[in-house]
Amino acid sequence: MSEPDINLQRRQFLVAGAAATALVADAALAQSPAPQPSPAPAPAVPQGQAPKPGQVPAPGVQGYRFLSNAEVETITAMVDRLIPADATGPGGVESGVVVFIDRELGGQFGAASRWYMQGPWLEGTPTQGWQLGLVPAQVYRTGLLALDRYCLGANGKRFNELAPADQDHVLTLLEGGKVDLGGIPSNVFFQLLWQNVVEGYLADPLYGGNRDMAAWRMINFPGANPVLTAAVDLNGELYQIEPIAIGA
Amino acid sequence: MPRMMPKVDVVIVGMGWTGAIAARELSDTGLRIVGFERGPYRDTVPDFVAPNALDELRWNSRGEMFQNLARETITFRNKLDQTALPMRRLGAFLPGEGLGGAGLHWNGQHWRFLPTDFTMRSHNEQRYGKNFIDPDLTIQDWGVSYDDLEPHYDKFEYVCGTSGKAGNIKGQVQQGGNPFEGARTREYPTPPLKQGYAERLFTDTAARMGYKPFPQPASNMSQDSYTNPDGVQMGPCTYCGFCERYGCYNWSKASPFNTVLPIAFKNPDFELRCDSHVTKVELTDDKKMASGVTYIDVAGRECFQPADLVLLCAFQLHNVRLMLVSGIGAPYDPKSGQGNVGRNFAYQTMAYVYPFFADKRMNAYAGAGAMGMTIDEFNGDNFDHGPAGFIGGGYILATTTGARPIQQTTLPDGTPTWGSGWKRALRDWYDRSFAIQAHGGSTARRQNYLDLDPTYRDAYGMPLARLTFDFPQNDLKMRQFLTAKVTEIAKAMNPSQVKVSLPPNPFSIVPYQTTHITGGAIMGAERASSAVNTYLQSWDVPNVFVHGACAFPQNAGYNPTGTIAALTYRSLDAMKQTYLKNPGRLI
Repeated sequence: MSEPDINLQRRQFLVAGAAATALVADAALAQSPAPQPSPAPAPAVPQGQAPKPGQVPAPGVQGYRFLSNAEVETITAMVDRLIPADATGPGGVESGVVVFIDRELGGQFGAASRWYMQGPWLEGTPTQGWQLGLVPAQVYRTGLLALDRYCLGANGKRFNELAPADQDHVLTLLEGGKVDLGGIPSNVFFQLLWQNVVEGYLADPLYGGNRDMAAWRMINFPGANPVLTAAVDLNGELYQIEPIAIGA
Repeated sequence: MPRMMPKVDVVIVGMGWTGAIAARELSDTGLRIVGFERGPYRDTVPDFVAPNALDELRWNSRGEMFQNLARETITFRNKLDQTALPMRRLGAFLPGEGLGGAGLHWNGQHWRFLPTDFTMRSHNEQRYGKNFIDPDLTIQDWGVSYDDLEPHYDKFEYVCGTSGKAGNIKGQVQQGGNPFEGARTREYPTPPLKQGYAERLFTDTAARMGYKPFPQPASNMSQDSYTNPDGVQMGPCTYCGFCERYGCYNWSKASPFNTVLPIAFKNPDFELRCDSHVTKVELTDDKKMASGVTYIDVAGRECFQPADLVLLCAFQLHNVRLMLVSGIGAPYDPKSGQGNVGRNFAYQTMAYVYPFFADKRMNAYAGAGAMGMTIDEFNGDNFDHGPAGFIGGGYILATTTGARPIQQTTLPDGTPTWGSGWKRALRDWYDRSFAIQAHGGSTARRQNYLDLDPTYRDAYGMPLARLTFDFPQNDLKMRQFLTAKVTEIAKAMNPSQVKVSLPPNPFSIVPYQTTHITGGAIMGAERASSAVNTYLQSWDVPNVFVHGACAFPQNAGYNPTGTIAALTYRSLDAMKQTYLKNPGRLI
């Protein structure tokens, strides 16, 4: 960590916010993830205040349902690069994207409950779409393990232990399909991850991401607001309305 | 042995728009009717109330009201020499499932086709000569005329409370409407929807360029309330921007729920069986008549429902598959050109152009499924195709259906795909552009068809339908032509920048384009070149009628629902006036 004050903030955040089953997402602390006491709920990023880089959300009283500690560490580091916390708006991690991904993978999406998953499995053309015989939960599990192996082999460090610039380089390789993820094309892995990151960032808070509708506020999306008739008549100026969420 | 059910008079397979219309139209006949729906029962309350109806993850990303592919999908390939593979995730099109079918998650774009669309072969041959049409194309005339369908178009618009402005009433061109449309007998039942900033920009620019923009016909309720001729009420559209892919929370978008089903349900002789999947139409030993349908009931039991009359009202793909697995008509062979079931699969040829305005907010989340301003100068045969070298066309539409951020965010070319740069672009460019689309028709060609897959099966052990499809050269030329026209309009608005987005070529099953897949059980005046007659009656098994877009010989440059419904109303009229009195061939 090159910025000690941020590191300090993060440690304080973790101590304050981690639940009994929580996971330590900070690379500096990753070697010995230990259960933390949970005296108070996690402080949300105050409205109107820019989120602090690298802030980690508390996973809540449920902890993580599907992801292992190591997977949480890796995904947290990935999400922190895919949608970093900065002055523009909320980062993916403090928005709850990792919690969102965990919930989705542990549920019907992770099990591909509405996908056709009967064989035989053949390699198709790009126009034929998804032809991988793994459900999303398996893609993450297999892919993250293979990614650890790749990063350790190449750098002697796991993904979450790499410097941000090196993490970005690995993500670019993944996106370009250039990493061997144990049989999973790395661009397929990356696209699934990116799809879920965007979903978690911009979906209703009901699903664990988009905490406090911060991403919606950044772009001025009114959420599940069913009556917007008055906005139709405007001529290019912003329609000011407080967003509504199904779940908070 | 399947469970034997008590015999009924009529079986309806599929309870989307066409099945629900059929149940409504037959409700005064005294016939015993069973309607089968493979998906669940549902209604506006409790299934689509606000705010839960406005849930992008649930309804769009997870597609909860779309076809469950785990049970049933199709296989797909571009070319005959490829191995078709299953469509494992939804993408290019989104068939519905559950009561109301895709009639729940449509946008409400409620069009009529042009008179010349129904004579696409003969009209183009006459105007441009036989040699002008690419010999690859298997387009043909429908066997019905616009005038045959006009009363039925009119009826459906009044059932749905469609909003719009007529362009031609009894031959008199009307200011503000579509000057190219066929003659209507009367004005739309309700006035046009409100139009947003994007639509007003488009209208001003298009009018300045000499085009005649008009409001897109919309089955989204434009006034405080509407009571249709059956006494069924609709509520006002509140421009929530959750229309296509969603159920309407306010009874504002016409669907089977707030139009025809309430009347069908009043009929004590109508029974709805949801979660009941029809696997096959059973034929008599001589294969000349249907005896009923086999289905899997909610508990997974195989049942046989005997009936005198079978109406196939499932989605296009499923109607064709049911015909193929049941042996109704001869399967199409693309090599010999023989056989009619599965032939002339067509789609829609789309292009999207986005003007961006750095200093404006579109407020596009305040939208409605069919909000939009259109020009029709380049649709059908509304212009001289001689110099263009193709046939057909499409409408050009500036539209605001919502700004749901997961699905509908459009960022400028060159935006980083992730990271801080992506987030900055999201903040700076979300809601600062709108889509102008070219909604092009789709010609039929010899190699585009449906048959049964030799390998893959559904959850009930039946072979999947296999789709072989790629865009005809004619349609790619048309797309290029339309895209240039749309880009010209977009640039004339003086935007900060313009983005052009075209679906992949060759056709890909991955990105959504439209759900307007057509053909496979095409209608016609001649038995040799069609699967059903002009009343949608099977030529081969006359007590089977096949409804829906599967009857289109090729697709026009409009959304199909209005024409689907008009064909169904016409068929049911003939059924009631003639067939039920004396069952047999109507032609």
